[in-house]
Amino acid sequence: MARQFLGNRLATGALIVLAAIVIACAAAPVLTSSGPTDTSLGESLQGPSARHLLGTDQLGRDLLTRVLFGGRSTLLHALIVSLVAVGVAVPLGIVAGYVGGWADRVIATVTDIVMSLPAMIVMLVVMTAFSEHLPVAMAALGLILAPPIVRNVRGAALAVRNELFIDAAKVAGLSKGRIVFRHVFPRVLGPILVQAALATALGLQFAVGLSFLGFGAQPPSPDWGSMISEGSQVLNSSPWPLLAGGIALGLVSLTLVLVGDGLRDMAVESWTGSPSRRRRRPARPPVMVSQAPRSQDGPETEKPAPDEALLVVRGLSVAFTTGGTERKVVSDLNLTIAPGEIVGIVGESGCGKSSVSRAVSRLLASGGEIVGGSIRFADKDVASLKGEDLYEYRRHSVSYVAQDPMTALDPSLRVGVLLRRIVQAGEGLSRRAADARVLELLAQVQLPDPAAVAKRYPHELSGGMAQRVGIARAIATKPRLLIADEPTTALDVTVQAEILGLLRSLQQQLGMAVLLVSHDWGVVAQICDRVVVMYGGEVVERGRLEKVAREPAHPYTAALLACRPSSVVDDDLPLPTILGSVLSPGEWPTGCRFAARCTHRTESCDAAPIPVSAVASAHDVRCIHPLRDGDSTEVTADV
Amino acid sequence: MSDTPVLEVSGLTVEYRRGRKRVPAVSDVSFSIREGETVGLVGESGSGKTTIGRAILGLVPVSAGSIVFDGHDVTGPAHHARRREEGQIRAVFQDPYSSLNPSLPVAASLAEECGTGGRSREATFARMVDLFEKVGLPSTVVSSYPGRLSGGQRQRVAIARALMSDPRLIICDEPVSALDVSVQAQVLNLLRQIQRVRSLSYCFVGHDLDVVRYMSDWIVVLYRGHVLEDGPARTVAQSPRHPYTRALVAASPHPVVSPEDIATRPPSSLNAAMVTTGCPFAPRCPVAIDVCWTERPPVCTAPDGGKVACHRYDPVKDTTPTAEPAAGGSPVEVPAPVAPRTR
Repeated sequence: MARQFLGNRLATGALIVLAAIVIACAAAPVLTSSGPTDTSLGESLQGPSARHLLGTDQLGRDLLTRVLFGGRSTLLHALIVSLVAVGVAVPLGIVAGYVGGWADRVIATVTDIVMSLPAMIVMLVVMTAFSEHLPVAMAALGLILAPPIVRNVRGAALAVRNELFIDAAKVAGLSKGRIVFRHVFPRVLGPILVQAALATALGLQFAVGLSFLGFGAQPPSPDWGSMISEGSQVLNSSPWPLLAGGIALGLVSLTLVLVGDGLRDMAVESWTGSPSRRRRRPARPPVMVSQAPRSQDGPETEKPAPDEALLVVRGLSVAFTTGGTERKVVSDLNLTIAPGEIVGIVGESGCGKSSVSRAVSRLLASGGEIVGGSIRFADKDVASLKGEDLYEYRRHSVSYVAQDPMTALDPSLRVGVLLRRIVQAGEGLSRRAADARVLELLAQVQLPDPAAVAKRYPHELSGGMAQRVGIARAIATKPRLLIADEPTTALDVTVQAEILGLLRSLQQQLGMAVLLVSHDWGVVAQICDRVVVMYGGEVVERGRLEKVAREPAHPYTAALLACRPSSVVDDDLPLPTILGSVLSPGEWPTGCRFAARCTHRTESCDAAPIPVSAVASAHDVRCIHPLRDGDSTEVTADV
Repeated sequence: MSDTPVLEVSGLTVEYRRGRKRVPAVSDVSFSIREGETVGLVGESGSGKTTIGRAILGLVPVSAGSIVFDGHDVTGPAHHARRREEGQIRAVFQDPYSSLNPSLPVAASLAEECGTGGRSREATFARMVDLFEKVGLPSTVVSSYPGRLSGGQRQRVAIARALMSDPRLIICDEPVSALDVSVQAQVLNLLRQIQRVRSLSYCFVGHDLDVVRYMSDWIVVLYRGHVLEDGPARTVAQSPRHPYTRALVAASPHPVVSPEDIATRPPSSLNAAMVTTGCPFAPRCPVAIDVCWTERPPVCTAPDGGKVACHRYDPVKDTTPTAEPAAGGSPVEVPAPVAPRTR
C-alpha cells in the first residue's frame, strides 16, 4: 500500500511538508530560542533576516516563533473538528447505507435538518456560549460538518450492500458486525479518507476565521487567525505579519487536500491494481500505412471484386497505449464485406474482435489507435477521416449497436425524442415528418404500439425492447453497414432469438450489410453468411458459415464449436475444453499464437509466423496442420 | 445416488414489497434434491429462479411454504444461522467479479468460511491450498487480490470457497453465464467432477437450457415464478411437454440452424402482459385457448414422474399440441460438428 502512495509524487511531497509543519509546531518550544510573547520594541515590523527568518510584528515579536506556537492551537482545533465529524459521520453513514430501512430514514432526516442550518451563524452562537472552552466549540463545529460526510459514506455503503460478496459472507454465517467491519468498511475507506482530509481543511478555515473575528486565542498568545487579523492592521507598514499567518494556513490546507487525494488513490489501487488516475498518453501523430497489404493474412479466396466490396480492411493493426507501453490487440488483419452481406467475427474475449469493430466504426476507446493498414469503405479511406467527413461517414455509412441496450440509450430522453433527434440531424425534416419517421422506425423493429413506446423512457423498457430501440436508432440513418457488437449477450435466449431474427429480416428489407461480433458460435451461426474466427488478434479461419461450422479446419475453431454443451452427444462425458487460457496481447509468440493450447502442436508451429492458406474454395485457415474433412479433433478435457 | 432427499422445497412462495403492493416473485414452487443429484432451475430473467436459490440460502424472507434440509425445517430465519454454521449449504454466484470482495486477498475471503472457532490458521491454510489444487488453481493465487484474476480463475476461487466447509448442497446461481464458452466448459467439468467425488447435491440455476440439461438430472422450468413443467433432464430438453419449454428449446442457439427457422418465429416475448387468473404464459403461448386466460391450469403428472401445468396437455399422447407447422418446416438441425473426445 505504502508503495502506491509513494508513487504519487505530489501526495508524497505534500505529506512531507504537512508532517514537517505539524512536527515543527508540536516541537515549537524546543525549536525556538524565544517565547511567542517575548517583545522587543526596537525590532518592530522588520522584514526577514537571519535573526528573524520571517521578520517581526508590531511589538517586535519573532513571527516564525509565533506561527509555530500559534499552529499548536489552530491545528489542534482543526484536528478536533475532523475527528468529531468523521467519528460521528462514519458509523451513521454505514448504518444508514448498509442497514437501511428505519435507521436510514431517521438518519437522513436528522442530517437534512443539520445541513439546512447556517453553519457560520450557529458557530457564532456556540462560540459566544463556549468562548472559554474552544475545544468544545470545535467539537460542535465537527457535528455541523458531519452531515455531508454521512451522505457520502451512506452512498458508498449502499453500493456495497448489493454486492454478491456480501451475500457470500452472509451465507458463510458472518455476523452483521463482522460483515460491516471486514467487507463494508474497507470499501468505503476511500471516500472516508478524502472526506476526513477535507473536513480537517474546512475545520482549519473555520478555526482561523473564528479567531480572526476575535473568538480564538486571546492576546498576547498567538494563533493563525489572530496573527492574520493583526497583520491586516499593519499591512501598510509591513506585509510580513499577514503573510506569515496566511502562508501557514494556505500551505496546510493545500497539503491536506493533496494528501487526501493520494490516500484515496492508494486505497483503490491496492486492490484493483490499476491506477485510478488516467495517465495522459503522449500525443503522437497517427500512423496511416495505406500501402498494399502484406502477404501475411494471405489472399482472401472468393472475395468480392474490390469495386464490388463495401468494406475492405487490409493489414489492419490496432494498438492500445497504457502507461507508455504500446500493446497490439489486432495485428495485420484482412476483412472484406460485400454490400448486403452478414459477416460474423467470433472468438473468446481478449482476441481483438471488438477492437476490429470499433476501429471500423472509428470508435476506439481512449488510448487505442490504428497503427497500421487500411480501412476502405466504398473506396474511401476511413482511417484518415476527420471532422465533417468523419461525421458524414458515421451518419450515412456505418451504425453501431452496442452490447448493453440499457446503457446505450440516454436515460434522460424519451425514446421518441431520442430517435427524433437522430432522424432530424442534418436532414432538415419538420417535426411532424420526423415524428412520423420515428413511428415508422419503431414499427420496423416490430415493437407493438410504437406510439406508446415513443413516449417511454429507456428504464421503462425491457431489455429486449431496449435493444429493438437501439436497432431502430442504428437503422434511422439508413446505414450501408450495421455493426452489432455482442448485441444479444445481455438478453434471455428467447429474446436473443427474436433480436437475431429481426436483424436478419431488416438486413433483407434494407439491403444493408451487417458485421456481427460475438463470443458465441450459436449466435453467429443463426444469421451469418460468412464467419471470421479470431484468436490472438489475428484471423485464424474464415469462410462460408456452413463450411466453417461443419468442417472446421483450425483446431481452435473446432475446439470452440465442441465445447458448447449443445454440441455434446453424451451428457455423461466431460465437456471438451481448450487447455489453458487466452494469451493477453503482448504475450504473443512469433509462431502460431494458439500453439500453447493446441493438441496438434509440432515444432514447426513455433518456428515462424503461420501464413494463411486455403483449404477449400472460400475457406482459409491459418494453420500448418489443418484438420481435414473427417479428421477428428483431440480436444483434451483438462480438469 | 441415494433416495433420501437432501432438500425438500414445498409450496415455496416469496413476495417482494414494492411500495404497498406485494409482488409475488415465486409462487407455490415444489421440488426435492436427493444426495448426489443436480436439480436445474431454468427460465428467463424474472422467472424467480434466482430468488428460489436465495430463499434456500436464507437471503430472502419466505412468505409461504417450507424448505426442509436433511429432515430439519430451515424455512424461518432463526434456523439459518445454525445451518450456516454447520456449513451444509453453500453458494457459487453468477458474477465472479462481484462475489469476491476486491479489497480482500483471496485467502481472507476463503478463511471466512471456517467461522471463528474450529480450525487453526495453519489447518485453514493447508485446506485452502489443497482445495486450490483440486479446482486447478496455482497455490500462489491464495495471496492475490481478485482484481488480478481472470473470470475463470475467480469462479474457481468461488467454487473452492464453497467447498471450504465441506457442504452437502451447493446452490449454483448461473455460475457460468458470465464466462467465455471455453472457460464455461472448464468450470462445468470441474463442478461435475467435484460432485462425483464428494456426492454433493447441486441446485443449478441457469437461463441456458443446454447448460442446465448438461448439468442436471431433473429440470424445473419456471415462468414468472410458476413451475410450468418439470421432469427428467433429457425429457424436458429433448421432448418438452409445455409450449414454453418448447420455445426455450427452439431459442437455444445451435451452431447450425436453417435460416427459415429463425425468420418465422413471432416476437412473442413482447406480449408479456401480466395474467392474474389464468396461465401466466398465456399471452405468449402459440396454442393458448380461451380457458388459458381464465383458469389456472391443473398440474398433470406424466408417466415418467414429470409434471406439466398446461390446459392443452394430453395425458394419453403425453404431449401438448404444437403451433401449426410452417410450410416444409423441418426440425431444427442439430449436428454435432465435432465428436467430443476424452483422454
